[in-house]
Amino acid sequence: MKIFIIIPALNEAKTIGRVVGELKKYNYEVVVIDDGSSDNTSQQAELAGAVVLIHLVNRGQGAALKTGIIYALQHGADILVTFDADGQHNAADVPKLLKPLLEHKAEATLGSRFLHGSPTGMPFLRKLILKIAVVFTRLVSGLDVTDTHNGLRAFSRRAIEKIKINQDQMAHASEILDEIHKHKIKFIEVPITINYSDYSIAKGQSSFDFAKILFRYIMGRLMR
Amino acid sequence: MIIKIFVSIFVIFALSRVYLRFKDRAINLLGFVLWNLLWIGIGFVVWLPKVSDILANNVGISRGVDALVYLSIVALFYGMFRIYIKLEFIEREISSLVRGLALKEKKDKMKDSDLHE
Repeated sequence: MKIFIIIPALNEAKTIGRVVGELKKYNYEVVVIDDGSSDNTSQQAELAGAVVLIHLVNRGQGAALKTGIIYALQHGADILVTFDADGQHNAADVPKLLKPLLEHKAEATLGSRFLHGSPTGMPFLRKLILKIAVVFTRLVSGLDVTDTHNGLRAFSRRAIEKIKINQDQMAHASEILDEIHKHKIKFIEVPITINYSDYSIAKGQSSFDFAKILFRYIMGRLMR
Repeated sequence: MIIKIFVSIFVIFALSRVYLRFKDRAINLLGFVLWNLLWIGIGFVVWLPKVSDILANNVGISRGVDALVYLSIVALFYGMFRIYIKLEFIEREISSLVRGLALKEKKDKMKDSDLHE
C-alpha cells in the first residue's frame, strides 16, 4: 500500500523540515511542492527526506496540490493525503484519516476541527467566517460538512482520479467539495486537531482573503 | 461647436488607426467593419444629435446621448468579463506549464541519479 502525503509549501523553511520529519516517521512517501518560495523551503524539505517538486513561479495552493497529485498518481499512489506545511496539522492525525479508507468504509476522509466542538486558540473572526463557509457550502454544493476549508484530507486513488481541480488559488477547497458531491464520492469527516500558533495564524488566510476566494469560486463556477 | 470639431478629429484619427491595424492584419474583416461602424456612428451622433434622439425614443430612452452612455456601460462590462475569462485561461495555461516543468525536472533528476548509481 503506497501512501503519499502531498504538501504545498510557500516560504515555509521554518516549519517544513519538522513537518516532513514527523510524517517520515510513519514511512509515508512525502511530496513537497515548493510553490515558488524565495527562502530555502525546498532544501529543508529535501533534507528531511521529502521528494521536492519546484514550481518556478508561484501558482497558488490549488495548483501546487494538483502538481503533487499528478506526481503521486504517476508513482503508483494508492492513497493520497493533503497536508499543510505551516505546522498546523499533526502527523498523528493521518492514521485516523487512513483508517476508514483502509477498511473500505469511505473513498475520502475530510479532517474537521469542528466535529467535537470548537478548537481552542482559534480567533473569533476566523471561526465566524468558517461557519459562514459551512452554510454557504451546504447551499451551493449541497454537501453536509462541518469544516469546509480544512487542508487535511485523504483520498483513495479511485476518488482522486475523479476529482478535477481547476482553481489555482484557495478556492480549490470548495471545488474539491463540489467534486465529491458531483461524483458521489463516499466520504467521512474525521475529527482532527489544529495547532493555532501565532506563526500559523499569521501565515494563514486573512479574513479579507475569504472575500477574494468567494469571488474566484463564483467566477470559476460560472466559467464551467 | 469646438467639441464637435475635437470629436471629429479624434474620430478621423481613430478610423486611421483601425485601417492601419486592419492592414497589419491585427484585426480581421469583421473587427474592421465593427470598429468602423462604431467610430462613424460616433461622428454621426456628434453632428446630428437629433437622429440619435429619434433612435433612442424608439427604445424608450428620451435622449440619444443617454442611450449612448447606457450602451457604453454595457459594452465596457462585457469587455471586462471577456478579459477576465481570457486572463483566467492564461493563468491556467501558465499553471500547467509550471506544473509540466516541475514534473519534468524531477523526472530528469531521477534519471540522472539512476545513471550515477
